Amino acid sequence: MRRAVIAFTAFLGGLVILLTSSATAWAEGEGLRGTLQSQGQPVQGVKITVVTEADAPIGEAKSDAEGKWEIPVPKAATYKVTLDQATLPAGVALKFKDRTSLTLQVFEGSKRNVLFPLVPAGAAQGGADQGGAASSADESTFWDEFAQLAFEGLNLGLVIALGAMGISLIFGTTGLTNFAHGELLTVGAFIAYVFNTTFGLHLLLAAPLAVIVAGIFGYGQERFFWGPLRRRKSGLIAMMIISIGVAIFLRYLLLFLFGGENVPYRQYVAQDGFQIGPISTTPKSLVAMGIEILVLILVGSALLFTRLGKATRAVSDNPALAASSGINVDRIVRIVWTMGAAVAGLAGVLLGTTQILNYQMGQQVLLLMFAGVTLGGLGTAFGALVGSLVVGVFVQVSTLWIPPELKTVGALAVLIIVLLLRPQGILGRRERIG
Amino acid sequence: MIRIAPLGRALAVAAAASLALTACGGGEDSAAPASSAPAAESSAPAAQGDGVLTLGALLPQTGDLAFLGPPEFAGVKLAVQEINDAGGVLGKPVTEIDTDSGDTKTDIASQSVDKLLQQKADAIIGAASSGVSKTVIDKITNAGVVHFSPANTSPEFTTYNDKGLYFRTAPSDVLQGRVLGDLIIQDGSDSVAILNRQDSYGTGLADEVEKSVTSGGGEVVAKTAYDPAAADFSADVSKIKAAKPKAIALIAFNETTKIIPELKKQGLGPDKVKIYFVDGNTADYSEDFPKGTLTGIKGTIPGAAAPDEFRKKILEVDPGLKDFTYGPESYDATNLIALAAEAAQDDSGKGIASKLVEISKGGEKCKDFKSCLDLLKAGKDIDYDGISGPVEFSDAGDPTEATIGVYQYGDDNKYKNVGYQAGKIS
Repeated sequence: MRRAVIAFTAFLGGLVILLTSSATAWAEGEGLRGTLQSQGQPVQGVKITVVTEADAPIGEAKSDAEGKWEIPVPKAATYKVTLDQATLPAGVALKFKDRTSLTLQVFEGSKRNVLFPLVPAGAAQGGADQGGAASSADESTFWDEFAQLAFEGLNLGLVIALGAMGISLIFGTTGLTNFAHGELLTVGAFIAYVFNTTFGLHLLLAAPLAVIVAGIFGYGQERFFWGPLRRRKSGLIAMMIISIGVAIFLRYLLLFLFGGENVPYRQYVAQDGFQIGPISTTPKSLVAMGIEILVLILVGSALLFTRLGKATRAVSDNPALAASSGINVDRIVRIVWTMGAAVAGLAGVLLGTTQILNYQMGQQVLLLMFAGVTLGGLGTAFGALVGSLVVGVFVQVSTLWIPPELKTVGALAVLIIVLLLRPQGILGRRERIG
Repeated sequence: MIRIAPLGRALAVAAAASLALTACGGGEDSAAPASSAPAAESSAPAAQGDGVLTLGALLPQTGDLAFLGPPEFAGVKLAVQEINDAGGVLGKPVTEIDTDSGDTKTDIASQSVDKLLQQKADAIIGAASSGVSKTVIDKITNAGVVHFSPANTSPEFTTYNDKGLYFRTAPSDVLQGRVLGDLIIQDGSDSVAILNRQDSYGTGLADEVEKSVTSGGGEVVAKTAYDPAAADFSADVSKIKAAKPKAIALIAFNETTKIIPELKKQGLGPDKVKIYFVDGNTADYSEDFPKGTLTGIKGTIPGAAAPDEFRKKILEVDPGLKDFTYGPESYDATNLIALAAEAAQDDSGKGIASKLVEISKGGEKCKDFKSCLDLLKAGKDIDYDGISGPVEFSDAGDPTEATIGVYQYGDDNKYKNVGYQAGKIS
């Protein structure tokens, strides 16, 4: 019903404007108008007066049964509009007590709308008790916002952690600082996009397929690219620069293939939120977080308890010693690359589901992933996890005090402070000198 | 160090050689042979151009504003077609070179400008984004080329030191902000939140909306600028949520597809609060969101309705067009440049710029290139009235009169016009 009314008024409004504009643009002339409403109900019989800047009277009007009033003015200029508070019906008051009159400019050929916000009397009245209530309300909104932001931080931190884990393991086993890791997220997300849209598979099916393909992509990169480079004894700095090149290449390849616009998956777009206590969230975010936690636990326990995991940690600690004790270092590195890329691909798919797909999505979180890895301690998988969560929470919660457009600053400040106090990172081991 | 120096010199020579080679390569592509330039100069001492009007289109094929690209390119193409059908400019057909402007995150625009300048463009039409235009305006105007945007609305350009070479057919956001603020007040929202891009377009328009809302009796309870490259916008939205607004003005580009789900998630969907879009994001979202996601959202776009006849013609140029945003402005920009070159009898950037203001106002009215050209040839003063509006330039090269269209989204996530507001900018 309400929608119908809105649509009808919009239609009428459009009709009026169309009819008038068809002759000469604004033949009806300048004026001031408005609608007085309190809680959606029209307020009738309120006197509005208009005077010029020099206090010369122009006209006055009373709001009609629909709360509307309109006063024509002779020409475009600045006018003072005053609402006579004495004529307000009982139980209705101005929301802003001090704003009974407004001084505003009417522009050539247009009617200017004026709003006097009205509220039930009492709500606008000041007073000590009211002030106390307001400040406690402020406090509760502060904690609500805090809870929401901490939750969002956890959400972001978990995605970062998935990517950071891979960066950290690859760095640990090969010494490579892989700047193309952000693009592994993007590639994973877009592989799922191709399965999802071109082949029409449901996202639940497309996502695991994409993770597998992303894993193969990681394996291929190591097998045919990074592995040979390492065997030819390329320097670590050279390899790092190469990884920046790979990142740029992949990013613009995706731009070329998919265009620069944001694209969504077919399913789970723009879900309605729901409340859990002070936190509003969507089902898809909760599912995504569940998957992220599960994968992190799986990877973590695999590192701790399986033979492969132990071998990986051994290679991480000292590749030469690991090789001499019979561990096939190349095989471990290949597995690390495959798993790292698969997990990064998963992170990309989840990021694409909860946010949106864009060829720059990986690059946008790359800095945060590096911050997480460095904060936690380079080369330690669990350090990357802790560091990422700290970074994620800090990015979001810091917006309580700093403007949101600067939110990454908070995380990087924490990074600097922690590294000043603990150069090896939160969980990193002190490096031996000599 | 001593050993490196000869190598460095060799590298420098190689680099210089390769530059020279690419310059030659570019020269071959260019429509005008270099030898014709001195000839034109000697025949008419006042004219500095090469006799062929070369238009460069610097419009978005990729990036945040890629959705604005197709109608803009089509507008330019249609105008060039009509101009050439009418015999071209200064007796020669007009050449058009299309390039991509990208967006502010990429450096595509400045490469495109290099390419256009190399090919001796006399006027560059673009870019769509004010932010992109700002990155290339110095390069273009320093080369003595006209920079003519069909879609820049940032108020900054009115006062920018452009050497008299910057023009636009889109009205400054002073007008759009005024209309949008008035619309919000008309809909009865007294507490308004503004969420805007942190760039010259977003902050400029946000300021104008705020001015209009506060002077109209409303209150701006939150004004949050966001970083367009942020990984997510949950913090930005929760900042707005804390202010409990009744209406939200969302001044964004393509990030809208990321922000709307976030608004819905935090309980600020269009069914709960009134949401307003601007020209940067009033687009067709039928592919992006499930049905009904945007129902009721209103948006403003500068520009009058494209007449049916124009729509038909532009659809012949590009049958795939989904909407016509800034198509008329691009068409008018192209016509104005061509007419100014005719009026000046010179196709150089400075020659065109010297006549643009004059042909836009005060004189015999005409509505398309052919009729205007006939008047010019008869020695009359003309006043070009375009599809996008009367196009009367101020001395700063801004249109002084313009129309802002008001649109509303339906269940199908497409927008329909609900009215127009005309206004003057002094």
